Amino acid sequence: MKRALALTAAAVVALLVGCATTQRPDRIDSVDMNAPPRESPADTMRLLEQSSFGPTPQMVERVRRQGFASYLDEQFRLKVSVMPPLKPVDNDVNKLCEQGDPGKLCRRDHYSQFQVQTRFFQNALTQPDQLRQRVAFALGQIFVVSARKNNRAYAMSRYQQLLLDDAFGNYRQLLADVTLSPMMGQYLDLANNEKLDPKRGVAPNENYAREVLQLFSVGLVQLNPDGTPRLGAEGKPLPTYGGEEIKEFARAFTGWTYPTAPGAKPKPRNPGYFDARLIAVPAGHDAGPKTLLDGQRIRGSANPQVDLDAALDNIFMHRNVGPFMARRLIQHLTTSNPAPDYIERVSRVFDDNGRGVRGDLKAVVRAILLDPSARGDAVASSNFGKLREPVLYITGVMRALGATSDGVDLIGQSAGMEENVFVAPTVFNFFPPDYEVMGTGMNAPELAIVDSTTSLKRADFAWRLIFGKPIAPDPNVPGAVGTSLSLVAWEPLAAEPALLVDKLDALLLHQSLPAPTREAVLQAVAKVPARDAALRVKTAAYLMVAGPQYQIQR
Amino acid sequence: MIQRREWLQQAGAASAMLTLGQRASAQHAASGDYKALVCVFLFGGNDGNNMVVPLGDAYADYAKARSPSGLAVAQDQLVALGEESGTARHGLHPALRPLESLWAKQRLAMLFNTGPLIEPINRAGYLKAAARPDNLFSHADQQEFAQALAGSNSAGTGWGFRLAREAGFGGPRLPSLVSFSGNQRFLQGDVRQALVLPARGNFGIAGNGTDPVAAARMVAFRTMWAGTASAIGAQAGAIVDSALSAASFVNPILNATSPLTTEPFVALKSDISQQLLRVARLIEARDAIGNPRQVFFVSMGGYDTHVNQRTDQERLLGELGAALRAFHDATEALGVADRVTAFTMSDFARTLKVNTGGGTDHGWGSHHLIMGGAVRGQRSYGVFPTLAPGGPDDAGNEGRWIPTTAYDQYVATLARWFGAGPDALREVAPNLARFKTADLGFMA
Repeated sequence: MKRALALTAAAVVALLVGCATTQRPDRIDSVDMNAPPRESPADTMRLLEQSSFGPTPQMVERVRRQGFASYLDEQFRLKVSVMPPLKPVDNDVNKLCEQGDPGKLCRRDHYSQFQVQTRFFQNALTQPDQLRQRVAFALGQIFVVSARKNNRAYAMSRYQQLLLDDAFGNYRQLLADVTLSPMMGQYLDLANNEKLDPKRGVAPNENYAREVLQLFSVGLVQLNPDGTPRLGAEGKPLPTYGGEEIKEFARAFTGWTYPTAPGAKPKPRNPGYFDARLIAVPAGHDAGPKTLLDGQRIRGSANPQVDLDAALDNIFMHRNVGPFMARRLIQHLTTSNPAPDYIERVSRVFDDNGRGVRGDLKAVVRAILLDPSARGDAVASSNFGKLREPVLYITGVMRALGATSDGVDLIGQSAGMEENVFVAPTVFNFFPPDYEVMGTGMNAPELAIVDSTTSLKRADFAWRLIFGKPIAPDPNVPGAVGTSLSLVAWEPLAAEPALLVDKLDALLLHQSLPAPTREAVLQAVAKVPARDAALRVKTAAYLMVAGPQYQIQR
Repeated sequence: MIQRREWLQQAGAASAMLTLGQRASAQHAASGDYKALVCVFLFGGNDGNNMVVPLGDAYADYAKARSPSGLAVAQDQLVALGEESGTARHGLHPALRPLESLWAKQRLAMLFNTGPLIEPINRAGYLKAAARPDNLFSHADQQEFAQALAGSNSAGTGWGFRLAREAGFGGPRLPSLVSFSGNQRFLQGDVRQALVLPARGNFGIAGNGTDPVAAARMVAFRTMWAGTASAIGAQAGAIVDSALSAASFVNPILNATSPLTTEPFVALKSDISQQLLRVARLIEARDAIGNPRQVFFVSMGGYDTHVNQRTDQERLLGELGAALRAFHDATEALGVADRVTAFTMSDFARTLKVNTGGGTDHGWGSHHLIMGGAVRGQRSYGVFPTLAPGGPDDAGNEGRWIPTTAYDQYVATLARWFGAGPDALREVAPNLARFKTADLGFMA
């Protein structure tokens, strides 16, 4: 029926070897590529869709032979990719970038996300530690900071490096590192949060206390281990905490300021400086007793670090964290609508990794990806999977087709689809986890940013990459290569549209293109005169990636 | 499933019997029965306490809470708003001075202390945990309540959608529900997609040529999107379809350069100004569009002023005031000022009490502005709260005002002007029946 089935996997690789790619070899382990594959192509592609910025034919072939468990082990070991190690700059843009900032390059490099975003895309397209990057990208959409409030590139670069470094560590460490990171300290106002001052009529700032509970850890309602809400007598979900707890946490979180910049005079309220952790200011700390989650009382200490540790421990030990984080990470990696038993299996691993350790993120990620509900050649339910968010859509298409990019053009592309990476509109991220497809009760977080405008921008990204001229390297960007894609290697297939479409189906959709859709693509390809092989290839490739089958990761 | 109820009573029985398609005809719009509502959402929770400040004796309460930290607006800086009776009881934040003359012309009204409510509630009732919206003081939940008039856990429709549906949802050219601010709960519905348009740039799809190859490619693209099995694919497909259906018609309207709409905005660059400029252009093109009712959503963010509120809110209100004024002037130039009403909503207000960062935290009831020729302006509505932390209007001790007017009443008053009859009002504002007044009286 489908002639592509007759093609060997080796032929797929041979075809694509000619495609330009700057990917660095990711063969850290030695894998015998002549050995017979242990995993099916379809399930391998699905795993790579869930655990990387998009499968490449090379990775598919390698992981098939390596096996899933060793692939994950290898990913856990790989060297952490690096965000740009930018030097701290003055908070006042005019001090660093006085007149004589031609092309506003100083502003671009230090007071916008340009360097952080381009590096992010370069790493996503080419660096081997794909799973780590992918998990860090997910964590960055849970522990959200945004350049809307702090556009200094070095500050964001440090924060994103923190997420990469901690992605496979323990949740408790991640929570502490995020809480005391100066970027978060500024974003949600832990920095320079001081105790009540009756003379000035001012009280502790509730911002971090509220959002760390609602968005980073336990959430608004009490959860069962399978993620369903615990219901009270009247059948309503039981709240996890109320306003009083928020005020108590706000008090526990007092007494921190930015680190003192080199050469500056230390102050009780240092100005923003983002090169190291926040530092304690005991004079600003509320040392009184506090009542935290589940009514747990802490005595209160004059040392801000002691109270902070107690507060974070209280959060970390709450039974909600497992199901809460399980659901969030599953939604970012595999499916928007995990069944309760899937959540429960993952949250049990959060509670105990099998060696008595709570909060082991590596074990959680492994449990999410190797869970039976996420594995197999095809999904059991038509509603398994998730819409590819703009960044993953962009990188997925580019990696599959072997495009190259320095990331410069991709910033505007993703922003146009309302995912301007590291510039979320609010702490609630680009899209909410509980966004529902109207009338279905189904969650589809990424669908929240699909509207009349962005739905066309998504197609236009594919258009520009496939039909447009290559984007020339920006002469003002060192090492720039621009953005380009060559589909020349596909042109020999143009004479046989069915073969062309089936091979694209294998490359992009693990051969899941439904017959009527395949027919629609074939008709459009057949309208192109046979002599124009390039246009036939482009037409087929465009439709395959711009259509719904690719845009929704299954 | 579209149910039309008592709608457009003023237009007479004949029009009430028209079918959907007939009612949406261009002739109908041209006949003078045209109205537009513009929801201006202030994301983050605008601090109403510094937007509208009491003058005279009550200023002392305000100053007591806000002066020591330096967040109080000085009394002589406020834009005093003299009421019809002659006395000025309240002042606007000085950044809203562009609206001063609209107040004097009776085209601006204020509604005090309104917010999400399920039933009337006072401090005693609140402390006893009477029925109240879920997850008060949480951004996402309260934004959703403001836009849906229902708790966030319901996967319900937005009230903008329900109002547009009750009005017939527009003719074949464009839906009558349009956002210039992305996808929002306000727009959510179970039939015809609202249109989300860009505030800047073109709206369309690349490669949409007329040659046979391009045409065949577009046919295939639309066929692919029309036939997906999953719930996500079906919804996304409907969005793609409505976008492609509207693009070639609406793009020239968005980029029109008529001086009537363009000139009032000529000096403005803010995002909210560009959104409102394009709303004005769609209003200008109302006859060509052929929808007798249009519902618009625009917004600005950044109002979550936990720190540095003084500077940040001043900048935001400055952008808002200038953009609203330009929008009003454009509707005036178009001769439809009395057919267009713009109004503000927000997540919540902010604590009267100031925090140690020079900002304020999440509150509840807030003050809002209603602007347009059909507004019974130069008057304030609702009950101004007692500005006392721990006082009779406070849900706690930080000055989070328990609303004395429900968002449902606010919305119902607007919807009644828009033409909704009693049954339609119940659809649009489902909590309305639990409140005494369905019409707050601020609309003609």
